[in-house]
Amino acid sequence: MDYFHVPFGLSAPAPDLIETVPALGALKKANPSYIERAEAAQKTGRLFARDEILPRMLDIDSACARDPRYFDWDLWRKANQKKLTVALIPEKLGGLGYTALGATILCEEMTSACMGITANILFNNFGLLGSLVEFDTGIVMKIIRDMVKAQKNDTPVFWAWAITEPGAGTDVEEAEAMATMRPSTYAEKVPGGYRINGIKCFITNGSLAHFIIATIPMDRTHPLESMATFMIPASSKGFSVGKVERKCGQKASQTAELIFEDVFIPEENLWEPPGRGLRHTREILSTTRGFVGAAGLGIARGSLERCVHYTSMKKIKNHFLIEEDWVLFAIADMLKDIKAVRAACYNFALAVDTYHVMKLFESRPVRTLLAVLPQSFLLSDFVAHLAASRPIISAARTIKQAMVPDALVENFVKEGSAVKVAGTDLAMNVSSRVCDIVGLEGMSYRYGIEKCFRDAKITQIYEGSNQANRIDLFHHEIGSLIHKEAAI
Amino acid sequence: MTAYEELCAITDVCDKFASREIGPAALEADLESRTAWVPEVWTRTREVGIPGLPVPEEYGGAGQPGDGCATVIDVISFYCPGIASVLCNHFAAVACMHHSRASQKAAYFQRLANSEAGEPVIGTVAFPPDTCDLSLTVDGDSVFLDGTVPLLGSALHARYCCLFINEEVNGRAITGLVVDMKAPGVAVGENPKLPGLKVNPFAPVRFERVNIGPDSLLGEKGNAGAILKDGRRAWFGYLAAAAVGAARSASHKARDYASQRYQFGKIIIHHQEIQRMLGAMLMKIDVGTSAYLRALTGEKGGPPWSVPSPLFAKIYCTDMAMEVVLDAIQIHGGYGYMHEYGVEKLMRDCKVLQLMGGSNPSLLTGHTAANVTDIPLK
Repeated sequence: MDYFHVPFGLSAPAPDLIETVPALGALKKANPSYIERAEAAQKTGRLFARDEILPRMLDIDSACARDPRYFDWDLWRKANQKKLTVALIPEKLGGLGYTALGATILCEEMTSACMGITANILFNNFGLLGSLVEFDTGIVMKIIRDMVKAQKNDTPVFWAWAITEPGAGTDVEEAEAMATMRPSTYAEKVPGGYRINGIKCFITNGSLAHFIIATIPMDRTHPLESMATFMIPASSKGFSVGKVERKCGQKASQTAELIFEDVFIPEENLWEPPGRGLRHTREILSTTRGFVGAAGLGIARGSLERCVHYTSMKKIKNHFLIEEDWVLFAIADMLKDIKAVRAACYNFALAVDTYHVMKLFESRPVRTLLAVLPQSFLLSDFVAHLAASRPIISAARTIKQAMVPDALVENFVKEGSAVKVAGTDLAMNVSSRVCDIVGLEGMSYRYGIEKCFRDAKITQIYEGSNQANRIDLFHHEIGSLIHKEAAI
Repeated sequence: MTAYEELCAITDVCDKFASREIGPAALEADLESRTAWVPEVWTRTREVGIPGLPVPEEYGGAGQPGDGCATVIDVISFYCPGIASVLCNHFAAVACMHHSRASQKAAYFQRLANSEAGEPVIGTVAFPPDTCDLSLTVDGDSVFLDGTVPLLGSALHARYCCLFINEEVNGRAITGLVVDMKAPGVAVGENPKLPGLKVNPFAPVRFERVNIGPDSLLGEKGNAGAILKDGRRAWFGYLAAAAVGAARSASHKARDYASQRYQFGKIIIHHQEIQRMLGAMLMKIDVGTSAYLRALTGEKGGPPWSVPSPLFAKIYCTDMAMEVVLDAIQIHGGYGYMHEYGVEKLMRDCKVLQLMGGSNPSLLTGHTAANVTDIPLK
């Protein structure tokens, strides 16, 4: 849109990551390849956001307002051709090798243009993240091969992660709550596998998904003890998509109800056995909450950028709106918060790359192997068979369990919760405040400012409501220190 | 019947009317941005005398003072802030029309008070700085109005508009006019598609050589400052009431939802954090209600140093309504973000209410600036 005229943010000539976060400069000296990939992520994300997302976001938003099932496949293909749909997969295996830091930066750039469209493109990584939890090397390699193949053929493979139920949102994300939840979905053991019944709701990409990772209890009266994780192909008999929700914002991203009627799932699709389902959810949350914080950061940034563009062209009498003192102070205040939250988000991503599951891709043996071996070999059937062999799976699982113990997962849930609340509260505060600055005319649909405001609100609710995130934060940081016998 | 009993009777009738005629259709009208719903509803509101509420009794109206009208807006806004916002503009226009010429009063007031007569007579208002682009030119015996109002509420369906023009650059020569929106030269532009109050047909309006008859003046030419002040005070008070109605609606929805939703081992209204949120909602709504009522009843009932201010009531009430609605959505969780629950609509509606009449931070800035004119710069 022609009103993006100040060389600031998305419309700046060229991004400079080190200038954005100078501390990364020191890291670049120690590990050039790591930071170079993050710089590449920033550049790719910004160009795609500016050239592809920005010009279409309003048309897509209004098309989805008319029909919530509308999907812009053309834009998705453009993202796919740039491999954004497989961004987390190492380069040698056919992805972009973006690391958690790269993905965070990519997410910030893209969500600053449109959160809903970003969800269509990046949330697909749930499949990979989910499989990395169990670390069945056979399944991980299969998913990577499938995703890379689909990317090359320009055909979509969508993954959705289904935990929320009509009667349980927060309850599926936390142990104490899960013990008391009233599930509607349940699985029963049948010969050769499981039979699933029930309804999941508010599932992002649920209506597009080819595969669904779902947490479902075996015993509805003991959900915590019997919660299991299943991988459910959308082609399964008895599976259907219910309504696609009409939402306030993030309309480009489809949110669907999933219905399971006597869906049969073979034994090998049980990813986590009964009792381990919550652990699976917690490990995914331990990384994704940080990314949602980064998405909030992006929405806030997008709002602020639009605010700068609008106020610098809006004339009041003989001057521009941005020249008013009160506007200057408000913008500076928001900039300050954005910078602080950005530092927190990048810090979290660095920790995921250094201590969490992503460090596997960054470890010297893996990077050396990836550097030495040819791609045709890495993606060959031979390697896939090898990865699916019992000794390899059990060895890999042992390494992974040592690498990502339960205590580490819970620590990351805590830190991720802090980043998530900070980022999404920032998104809501900034997008609302920007509306107050630009005024009624600035709220015209064509400026996209009101869209940021509509998009922001759900980030405070999904991936655990911010209240649930606060409970996690408190329990792990403070609650566990309190000795109940120390009463005065 | 005391004035209070009369008001209770009016609000009771309006509440029953709105729960029947406005509430059930509001969500769908929002979804379709159906501005044509406004004249439809307007025709029905005449059955209970809403358009003529502030019209003096001598013209057949109910002669309700500002606080009475605001209470009715509060009631209507509970069911649909969009319709309430049309009423805000309309009642503020009536407040300005009290100063119009006898012929205008006869023309508009009688049609407003009459519950049967033809087309809906909806009024609206435009105040500086939105009208700073307008100018008057004298050509012989006639006066012509030119210029643009960048965004006018109720524009498409308004029958007349009260507007105020600053005739000197820095002067206080304010001229007030009542302009027939069907007059030749009045062009209503395209709806900017605001996120909220979607049934209110906002639009830019262009005036091109609109012939202003001598009867169109409000007060005396160049001397309508006091009328402008009155009109704007009324408008701000009404906007505050509309925000309170929206907040009440959100708080009711949140309470109802919290009373049946089970999470974390109990019905969520038993969680302290939810109780705190619901308590804060009621507190803010209570203070907001007092604020708009006191602002519109004049200078009664407070210590001498505290002057009631409709401007502050508007700022406080619209800001608190936004806080209330955001918490209400949070209590609803994912359902709060879905259209069918109607809470996210309140968020969009309240955002626009916050910005009507000028955004709140700019109003605060402007208010202080206007009151420091006698302090030297250096």
